[in-house]
Amino acid sequence: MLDTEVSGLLQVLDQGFPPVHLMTGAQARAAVAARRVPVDNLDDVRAAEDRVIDTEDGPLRVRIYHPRGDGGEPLPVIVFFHGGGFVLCDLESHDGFCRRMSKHTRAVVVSVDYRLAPEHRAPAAARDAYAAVRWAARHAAELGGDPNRIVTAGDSAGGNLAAVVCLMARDLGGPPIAAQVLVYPVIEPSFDSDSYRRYATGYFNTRDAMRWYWRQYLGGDTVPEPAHHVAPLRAADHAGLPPAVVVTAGLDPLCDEGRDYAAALARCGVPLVHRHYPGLFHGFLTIAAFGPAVCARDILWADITSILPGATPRKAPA
Amino acid sequence: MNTSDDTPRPETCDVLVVGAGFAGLYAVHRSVAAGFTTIGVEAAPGVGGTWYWNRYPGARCDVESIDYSYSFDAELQDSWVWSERYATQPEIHAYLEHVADRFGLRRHFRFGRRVEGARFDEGSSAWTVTADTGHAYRARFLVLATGSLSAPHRPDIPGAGDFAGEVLFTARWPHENVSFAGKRVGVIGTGSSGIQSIPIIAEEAASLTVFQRSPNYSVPAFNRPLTEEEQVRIRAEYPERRRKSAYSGAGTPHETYPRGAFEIDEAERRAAFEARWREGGVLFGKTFPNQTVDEAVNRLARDFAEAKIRAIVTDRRVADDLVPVDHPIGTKRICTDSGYYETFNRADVTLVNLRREPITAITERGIRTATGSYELDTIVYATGFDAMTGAVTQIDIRGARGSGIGEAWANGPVTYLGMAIPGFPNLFTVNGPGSPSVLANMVLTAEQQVDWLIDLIADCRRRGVTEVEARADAAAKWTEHVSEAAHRTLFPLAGSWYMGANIEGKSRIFMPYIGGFGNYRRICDQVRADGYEGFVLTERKGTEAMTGPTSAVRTTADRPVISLAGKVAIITGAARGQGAAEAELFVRLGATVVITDTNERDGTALAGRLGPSASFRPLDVTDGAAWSRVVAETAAVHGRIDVLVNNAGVWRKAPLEEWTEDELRGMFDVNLLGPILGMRAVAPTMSVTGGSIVNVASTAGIRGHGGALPYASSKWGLRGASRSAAQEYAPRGIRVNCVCPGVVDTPMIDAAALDLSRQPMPRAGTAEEIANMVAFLASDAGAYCTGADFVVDGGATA
Ligand SMILES: Cc1cc2nc3c(=O)[nH]c(=O)nc-3n(C[C@H](O)[C@H](O)[C@H](O)COP(=O)(O)OP(=O)(O)OC[C@H]3O[C@@H](n4cnc5c(N)ncnc54)[C@H](O)[C@@H]3O)c2cc1C
Ligand SMILES: NC(=O)c1ccc[n+]([C@@H]2O[C@H](COP(=O)([O-])OP(=O)(O)OC[C@H]3O[C@@H](n4cnc5c(N)ncnc54)[C@H](OP(=O)(O)O)[C@@H]3O)[C@@H](O)[C@H]2O)c1
Repeated sequence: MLDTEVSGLLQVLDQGFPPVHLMTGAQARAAVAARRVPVDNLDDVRAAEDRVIDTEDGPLRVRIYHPRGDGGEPLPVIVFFHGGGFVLCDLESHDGFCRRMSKHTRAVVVSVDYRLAPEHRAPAAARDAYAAVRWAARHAAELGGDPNRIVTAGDSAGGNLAAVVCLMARDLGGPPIAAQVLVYPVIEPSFDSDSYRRYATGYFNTRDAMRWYWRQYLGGDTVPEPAHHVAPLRAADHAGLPPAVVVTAGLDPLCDEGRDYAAALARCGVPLVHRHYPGLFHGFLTIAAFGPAVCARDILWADITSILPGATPRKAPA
Repeated sequence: MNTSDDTPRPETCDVLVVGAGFAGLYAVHRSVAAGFTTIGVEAAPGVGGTWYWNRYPGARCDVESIDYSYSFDAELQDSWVWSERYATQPEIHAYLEHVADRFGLRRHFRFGRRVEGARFDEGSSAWTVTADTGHAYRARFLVLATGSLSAPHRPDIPGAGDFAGEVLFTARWPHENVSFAGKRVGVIGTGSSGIQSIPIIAEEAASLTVFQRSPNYSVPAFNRPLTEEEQVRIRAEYPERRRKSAYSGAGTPHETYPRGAFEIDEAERRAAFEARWREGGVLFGKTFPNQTVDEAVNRLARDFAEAKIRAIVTDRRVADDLVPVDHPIGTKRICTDSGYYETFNRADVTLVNLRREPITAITERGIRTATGSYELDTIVYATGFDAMTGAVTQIDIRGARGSGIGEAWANGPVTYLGMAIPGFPNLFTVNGPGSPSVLANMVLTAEQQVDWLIDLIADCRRRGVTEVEARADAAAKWTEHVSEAAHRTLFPLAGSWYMGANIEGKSRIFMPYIGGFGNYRRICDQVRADGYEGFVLTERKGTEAMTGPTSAVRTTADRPVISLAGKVAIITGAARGQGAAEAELFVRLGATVVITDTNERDGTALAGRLGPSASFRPLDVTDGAAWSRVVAETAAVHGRIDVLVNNAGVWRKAPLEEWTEDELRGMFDVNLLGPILGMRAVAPTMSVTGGSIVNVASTAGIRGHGGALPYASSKWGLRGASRSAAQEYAPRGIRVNCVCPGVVDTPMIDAAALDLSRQPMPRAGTAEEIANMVAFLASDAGAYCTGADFVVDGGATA
């Protein structure tokens, strides 16, 4: 590998990351949270407020980020789902990332504290994600957002939720979603793709960890029905889904499934921008001070901005 | 729609190459061969680049011509004869014209058009390129082969416009003969161009005044014609010489003295310097290891060179002015001259040291300095170039996400591997900043980069990637590495054009990569092996509409089902008949075809007729060593082998008793052993990209053929070999099939003499009809076919 920054960081990550697959959910969560670095970009946004919204399954916590700048036009609303294998992470772990995203895409970001496994099995997380999107669409105006420009976004397991929510919205009667942003998404509990075999260990996210994550989420080895609300590639077809930005990393066991999902979308005529980063690993894009991540984020912000339709003009007063 | 718009509709292509110098010509050649629709745009009215523009007297190369010439085609290399060690501009220009003709490159170029603008449209992943003539182009990929030394530097001297006499630029020399006879000539500039032209101008002019700001080191070329023996030796040694050069420091086979300057005594050292001096030219700068790294070693070389200058120049004060004092030797390009220092011994030549008396103005009648005035009839500017970046930044380039090249390079050029610029997807530079370029033999650097880039573009096509862009951080790191490498040497101590120091206001950063050509090649190869680490590979689908109306770019992906675009095929027995029909069809479908046969005359003629995508190699299929050679050459020239058609075969009908044992063996050797040797020879190369082998058997290999027992047996055997090979090679991505022609009208069989009235289609097939099946199996349309027989016989075996 040419890039010593990448290989150096990989080494540190590999040594430092706890063997979550040998722990309970709570232990793993605590171990990973202990490694968290403090957020250094609090000022990126004008305001961040925590709210609890009502859903069919009970109360759900969200954090809403408002970008700086004068009010004016309604802004896009990005509903964001953090990664962490359906088991780990929370609003805090991705706080810095959400602030950056809000700042650079000039969007209201709604980060969702969906229920985690193994305490809550599939499709609990997906149901929360969908509820959050419906809420955001209904309350867009109140948030200074544009209900015609709702975006779902997420990294890793969050990417799974961002994809699944689009299928749910399509199948279950809305709301309209303008774009989906899937950053090295978790797509399928099958651990034998070429990339799974090549990058099973040594590249931060391991096949063992992925097996364990899925087992926590599924509560076993079977995918509950409807399967595509958990494993989005299983949808009978992917037509009519919102335009997609998909990011994959070359040294990621999940690389192939991300690519396959992108291909499935494109085959069904979904407008697609698929950015592939050879030589990078799962999780790289949210690392704050990491050269390749800074570059990939800049591109991601631009992609989100350009894949969205133009702002809906305000209705002239009658 | 505005149809009255008088700007012409853009021409579209896959790959647009700007420049028709060494780099641009080769880029077009490779791009076409890889099956891309390709357009070249060149400002000059013809090919040649540097060697088109720089026609000043004495212009010649300073890297030996046998090295400073293309290596990609052995036949080109062997057929071209360089008359001198260092060829003159007319000869190099003639060579490039020859190359353009030989490979049919001119038809891809639009000459006399200077590219002024290039804008990337993200929705359709395509560049829109505009020329000063109003012509426009749309291309998915844009290759800037615009030259490192192609944007002339015209110093802004007060009063320059007032001069009433003749003004000439070495880098824009007129085509018609320039006469200096009886003229008082002034030359500004004593770099390589000035130093080459000064002795010749001095010969002819009434008087010559040389305006020197900084003296340079110059080493005599010791140029001379190459002798007959040398020509023979050069040809014998060429493969080895090129192999060595490919991984050398500077693209030539030369090495430094085997021991360090301080490990040997004074006498040996002097002898080593003397020997290098006698070899001539720039190599003197690298006599000893570390000579441009260690000041003490460098000092020794400087002292030696200084003594040489002083031994020639008789006037001591003039010699003082000619000896460089401001830079270690070799840290600016050493000039290569023929009689430069001797010129200053002439009574009609004056050296003006501008450090002592700077130019204050140019007047109607000549040049005025702080202390003097020089009346002139002609002023020659040999003032160099806005090197490395000038030709690129002269174009208004707008990349993705709103980036412009001016801002992107405001603090000096930033590139990844000297080929890609972050923010500018699908745009590549050849011999650009950050690559070895001007520090090495630039013909080989161009070949190496073009090969790498065309592979990258072909990989993109294969993977459906529509956009490839360097990551900003990867480029920043590479650029830092380029700079660090330079700072481990003495090079940054010189105010050279490598540093941008010759252009006012240009940022000072060491631009070429000094880490060595061979090392650089290895790094590039590693990046490719790692799946293009450092790049972002983007696939866009259905996003055109999202960024407004743009005409979509047609790429080769939209071509008909049976396409052989980008594929490299070897066909045996292809000089005539069936094989020739295959070769012709393959070329038409976009393949690069290596025609092989024992019949050299017809094979060469066919290759010539089929144009640049076809070449001929002699091959007797029964000779295993010959197979290895053909495979190695094909892989070396084209980088891959996708298709092998074992077409060669012999036919004879005679009762078995009439065959001698040797005749029997001979038939089996050609018809059965030949294809087996071929499959074995190509498999290692073919398995890199995957591929298809088509063995031409016969319907005689399906039923029997009484009266042609040996023939039928060999074809039965070939079917067995094919099926077995299909099983053996499937895991390596190689398909193997047989085509079984019935009666076909070729020179091998006199079809007219046969009675075909009982055949369902009562006629002989044509060679083309067989070729169609072969092409289908060779193409990706036949992707699911392997280990099978495909009968093309007008129903004869039905
Ligand atoms: C006098 C001289 C002698 C040299 N001798 C040697 C030597 O001995 N050994 C060596 O290795 N190198 C030598 N060099 C360096 C030389 O430039 C390279 O070796 C080589 O010729 C470069 O080839 P190229 O195709 O990269 O660029 P060039 O030959 O410079 O070709 C670039 C072409 O692009 C065209 N172009 C540029 N911008 C545009 C535009 N916007 N639109 C359209 N067309 C455009 C130019 O007109 C030019 O024809 C010499 C240079 C000079 C000036
Ligand atoms: N094969 C060959 O032998 C050959 C021939 C020609 C060119 N080349 C290649 O092309 C490169 C460029 O060569 P080049 O000779 O064309 O350019 P150069 O090396 O940059 O030389 C330009 C000369 O012009 C002088 N100059 C520039 N502006 C001036 C001004 N305003 N007033 C007075 N003097 C001024 C420079 O002086 P300063 O040094 O003080 O700036 C220098 O002496 C070479 O280094 C070589 O790589 C090779």
